[in-house]
Amino acid sequence: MMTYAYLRTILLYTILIGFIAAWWLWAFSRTPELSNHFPLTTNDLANDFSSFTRNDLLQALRGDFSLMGTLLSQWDREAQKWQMEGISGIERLSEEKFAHAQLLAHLIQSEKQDALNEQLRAKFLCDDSGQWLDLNKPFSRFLPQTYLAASFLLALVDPEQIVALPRGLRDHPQLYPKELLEHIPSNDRYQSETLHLAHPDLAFIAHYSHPSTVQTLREQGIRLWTINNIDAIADIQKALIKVGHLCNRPLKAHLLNLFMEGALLAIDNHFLLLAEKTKGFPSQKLLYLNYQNQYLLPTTKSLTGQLLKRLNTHYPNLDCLILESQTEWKVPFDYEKIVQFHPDYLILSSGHPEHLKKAVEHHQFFSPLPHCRLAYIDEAIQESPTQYMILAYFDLFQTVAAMQ
Amino acid sequence: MKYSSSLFLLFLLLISIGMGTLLYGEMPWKEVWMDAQSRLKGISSNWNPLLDERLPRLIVLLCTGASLAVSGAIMQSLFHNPLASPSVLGISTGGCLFTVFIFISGWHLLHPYALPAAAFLGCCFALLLVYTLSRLLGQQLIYLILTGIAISTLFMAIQSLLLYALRDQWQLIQTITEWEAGTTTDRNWQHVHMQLPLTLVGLWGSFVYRSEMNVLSLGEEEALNLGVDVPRVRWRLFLCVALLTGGALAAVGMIAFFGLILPHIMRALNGPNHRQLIPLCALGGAAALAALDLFLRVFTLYSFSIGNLSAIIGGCFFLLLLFRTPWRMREAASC
Repeated sequence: MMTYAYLRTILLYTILIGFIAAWWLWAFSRTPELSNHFPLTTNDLANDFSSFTRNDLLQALRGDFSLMGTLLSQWDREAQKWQMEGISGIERLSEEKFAHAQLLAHLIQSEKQDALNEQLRAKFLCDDSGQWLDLNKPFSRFLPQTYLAASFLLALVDPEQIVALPRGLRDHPQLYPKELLEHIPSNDRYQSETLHLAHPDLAFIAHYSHPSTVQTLREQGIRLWTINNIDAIADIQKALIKVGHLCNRPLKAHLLNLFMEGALLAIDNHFLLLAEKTKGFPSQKLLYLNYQNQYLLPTTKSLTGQLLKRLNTHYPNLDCLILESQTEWKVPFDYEKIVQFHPDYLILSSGHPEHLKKAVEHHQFFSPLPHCRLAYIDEAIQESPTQYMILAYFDLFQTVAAMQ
Repeated sequence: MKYSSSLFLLFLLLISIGMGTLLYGEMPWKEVWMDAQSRLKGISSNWNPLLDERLPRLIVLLCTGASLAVSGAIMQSLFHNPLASPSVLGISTGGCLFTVFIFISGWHLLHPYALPAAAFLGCCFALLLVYTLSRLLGQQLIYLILTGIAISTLFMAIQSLLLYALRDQWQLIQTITEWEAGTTTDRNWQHVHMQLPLTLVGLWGSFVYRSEMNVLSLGEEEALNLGVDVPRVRWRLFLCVALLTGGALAAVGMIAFFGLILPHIMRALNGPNHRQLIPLCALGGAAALAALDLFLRVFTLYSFSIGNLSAIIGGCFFLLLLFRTPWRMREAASC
């Protein structure tokens, strides 16, 4: 009787487990259909779409100030040439700004740099929380708690002047080289004693910084500088100038700021040139999506959305879907919406572009979009609210140019 | 209300919401239907929103709603507690923890089945662990509950520890947040295949033991005296809950409070008889979750996910439940 009951139980479990296993085996052993796409990756993108290389731009944004001067000169010459060729809409830095940038690039290399920094440094500055800071005595050691401040400081000051860095910065070696970061410790809010021993003069905090950390820093006599959310590229530039004064590098900060402005115009001009080349071609649809376990469409509240809007202004032949929003950074965008929009070009941004590429290539849902071209782009660069937004814009240009 | 009338009404509701889900979408229905016909006739093999998105999403929603409501009813009956849910035994936290591992490893992009498989395996692992450990202490229900709470807390702590250690990886944290909020975006046949066999077996088990649940709700001793093999029935019902919860977690993510609310609504509608409660929970849960999803889609409420909305409604209902409890019962509870 007992054996019969056991046998019945075993049989029941076998049948049920077998049912589930057979179902899964049947469903998942079928080979997924391969789409007939040949997606591009950022690695496939050649550099011959612009007159300067991505690496040049990256090096300059990392703080190569002589390269900044060289590139600005090159872009100005190109812009003049294109203006003479009659390409409409070409813009360049105003003569005053261009001369200013060249002078700064020269002065930064000279021995007078320190004296000039001292002279030009603002004596009082007000942070985003309304607190005034006395800069009569310069600060020399810094504790950046935000990515923005850390990113600027890495470009402007010597690494020894940075007491600690946010840990997450190390996850982006494509922006911040390992060899530069390895000598700077990580910032951890429990290491208040270590921080005290490192004697930072000034800490860059955000309005969302942990209140107890802020209190500890204040009690240690460290001066605080609050930076609010960065909502636009202009905010990045404003913050850069202030950080430049705070770290006693106003010359470098002004040059980097002018470089960012010049780089944006140069990339705009390259879009205009591309538009000129494709004049008369039918309008193409571009869709940019971010993948975070589902597809998300960036809105104009996000920096990516603003870059896409800028791209669209300078390359009107491309009909780029941009959602206006003051509240949402990104909104979910499902397959049906993608198919409904019917893009000619689809840019997918992800933290793992190579992994996403593999997943997407095997997906059947691209079958109604037989002519859609795909490109993958690094999300870390696209969503970095620092000077590297310029690189993000350049990557967009390279991707669009490569897909034409 | 009569059982048959309730059943009929819920069925009608389910059909109308199901139709709404199938008809509502970005692409015009005429175009979608024409494409679907070509697909069904074998003329085209193109991706079709009706066949490849709306229909699988509807099946996933129905399975998830039914699974959560039925597992809530089972847990409330087994623990004689109106506030019990699958999280009491750490089942859902096990699924969550395994899913977080997958996100951290990045396997969800390389292997599409890794995520649902991990959620299901996590649920089963948690159940087996709780059951094995509690049996070392004894057969009583109290040991099972206490072990479940301990394991659940441990799993949650490990998950928090992992997320805290990786807090600077904001892309990863954002992805996990999206999953934890529960989503029905881009559900496809993969999700259906992952969930449906688990749901079918889980629901079948719950239907088979409906009468035993009635007896068990009288108390374990009473049930033993009435000839119910309590440990065996309890184990099998827990297994059903693991299958149902694992499937739901795999397909949609975290849907909080849903399993708590629906059984109460169905009890209020038709009484506590499990022979009727389980089918009503299955139908009602399926209709309610599909309705929530349709509501979010029609009103394009991007700030909410289905999990958020369910949690908000659940929280309010929880309070209502608390305040509607007669004061004499509250006094008795405080004594």
